[in-house]
Amino acid sequence: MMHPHTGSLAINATDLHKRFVLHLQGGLELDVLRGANLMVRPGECIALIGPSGAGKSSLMRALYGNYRIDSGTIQIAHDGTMVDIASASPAEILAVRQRSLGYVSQFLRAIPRLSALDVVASSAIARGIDESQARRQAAAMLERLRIPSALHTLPPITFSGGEQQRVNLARSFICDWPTLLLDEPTASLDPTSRDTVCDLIAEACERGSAIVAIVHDPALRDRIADRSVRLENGATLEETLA
Amino acid sequence: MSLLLQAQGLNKRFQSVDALDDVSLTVSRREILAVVGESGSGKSTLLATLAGLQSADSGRITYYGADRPQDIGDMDEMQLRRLQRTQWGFIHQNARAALRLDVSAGGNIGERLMMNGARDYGEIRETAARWLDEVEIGRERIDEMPLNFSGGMLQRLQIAATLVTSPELVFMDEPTTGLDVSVQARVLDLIRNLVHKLDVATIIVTHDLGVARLLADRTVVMQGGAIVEHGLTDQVLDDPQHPYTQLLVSSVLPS
Repeated sequence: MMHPHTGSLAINATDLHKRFVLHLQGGLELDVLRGANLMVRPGECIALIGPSGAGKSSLMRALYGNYRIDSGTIQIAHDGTMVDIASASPAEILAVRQRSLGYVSQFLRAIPRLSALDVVASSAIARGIDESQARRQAAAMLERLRIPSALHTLPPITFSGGEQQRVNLARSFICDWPTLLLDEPTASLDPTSRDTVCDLIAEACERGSAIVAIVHDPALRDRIADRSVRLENGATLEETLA
Repeated sequence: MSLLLQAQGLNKRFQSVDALDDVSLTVSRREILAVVGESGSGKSTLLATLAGLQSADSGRITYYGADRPQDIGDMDEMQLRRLQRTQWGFIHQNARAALRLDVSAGGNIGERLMMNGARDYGEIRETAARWLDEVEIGRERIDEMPLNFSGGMLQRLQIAATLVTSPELVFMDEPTTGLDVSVQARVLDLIRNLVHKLDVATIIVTHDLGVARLLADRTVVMQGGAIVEHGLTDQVLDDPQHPYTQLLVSSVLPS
C-alpha cells in the first residue's frame, strides 16, 4: 500500500465530520461525513469512489469550503503555507479559491448573458492573465474540448448537457490550479471528449497539480488515478492502489 | 482585505417592532455583501441606517475612508452629505423617484459630477456620454429626457449617475426588483461588471437569492431585524444552517 509523504502536501484533511440538521423536516439529522480523511501530494490524482450517498460530493464541497464542517481540519496548500479551510475567514477562503484551489461542479453555473468564450476567459482573467491572451487561450481550450468556434460567442445556457460540462471543464483547465477538485468530470461526455479530459488531467498532474476526482467508472479510474480513496457512510476506508 | 465600513450593535424600534435588533457587520474594500430576507425582515431599514439616511436608536457605524476612521453618528449634516455624494452612492429600487425626469439623461449624470466639483462643460458632457455607452443606453440619447425611458433603462441611468464619480462604497436597495425578468439579467450583469471594474465595495439588499448568488462574496440573512446567519454566499445558500435560511433556500423554484 502506498502512502503519501507528509513533507509536501496539497491537501491534508483529517477527521472531518458534517451533520445536516433539516429544520423543515422536524430537525431530521443527516450525518454526511463521519470521519473522512484525505492526503494528496502535488502531482497526484486521487479517485474518490464509493456508492451514491456515501459522502463523496459532501467531502469535495467541504474541501472547497462550500459545506461548513462540524469538526476536523482541512489544510490546503496556498502561497507556500497550509491554510485550514475549516477555520479560515471568508476572505482567506476566497483568496485560496482565487489562486490555489479550483473546483468543477457537475453543472455549469454562469452569468446568463456571457458567451462561452467570456465564461472561459473570465476565469483566466480573474487569475491575472492579460485579457487578449486569456481570450486566445480560452478559444484554444474550447476547440480542444471540441466546442466549435461557431458556438464560442453564444451563451452556454443554450448548449447541450455535454457541451455545458465541457465549457465548465475548459473554464478550470485554462488555469494552472495547484489543487483541483473534479465532481464527475466526464459524466455526460462522449468517448472522444472523455479522452481529452483524461489528457488534460494527466498534463495538469505532470505540471504538479494535485487532483481529486469523483469517478464511478472503474476503467476511467484506472486511466487517471494514482490512488483511490473509498467512502462508505461518510467515512474514508482503506486507500487502494488504483 | 481592509475594512471599509463597520456597524456595531445597531438597534432601532418602530413602535413595538424591532426593525434592527443588535445588528453588527463589516464590509471590506472591494467586497460585495448581500443582505437577504423577506419583506419586513429589516433589511431596507439596515441599508438606510448604514447609508446615513436614518439614524439608529443605538449602536455605532464607522467608515474607514481615505484619511481616518469616521464615526457616522458624530458627523454633522454637512459632513454626512459630503460623504454621501463624494465617497458613497445609493441606488434605489425605484429609479423614477431617484432621478430627475425633467432633466436630460446627460444632465442626470452630469449633476453628480458637478456636485463633486467638475466645472468644464465639455469634459462633463464627454464623461456623461461615455457612461451612457457604458450602461448600454447609448451616447446618442444624451439630450433625451428620461421621462420616456423603460424601467430597465431608468435603472441603468441611475447606475451611471451613481457610479460616474467612482464612489468607494455603494448601497443598493433591490436594484432589479420591479424590472421584467428579461431585463433583470442585463441590469445584474451590468452591475457585476461595473463594480468589479471600478473596485467599488457594495452592500446590496435583495429578497432574490439568485441576485446574491450572482453578485455577492458574502451574504447575511435577516429575520425580525436580526442577522440570523452569515458567511460566504455559496456556504449560506448551499449549506444553510438556520431554520429561516433553510426556509428561504427551499422556497426558491428551481429554474
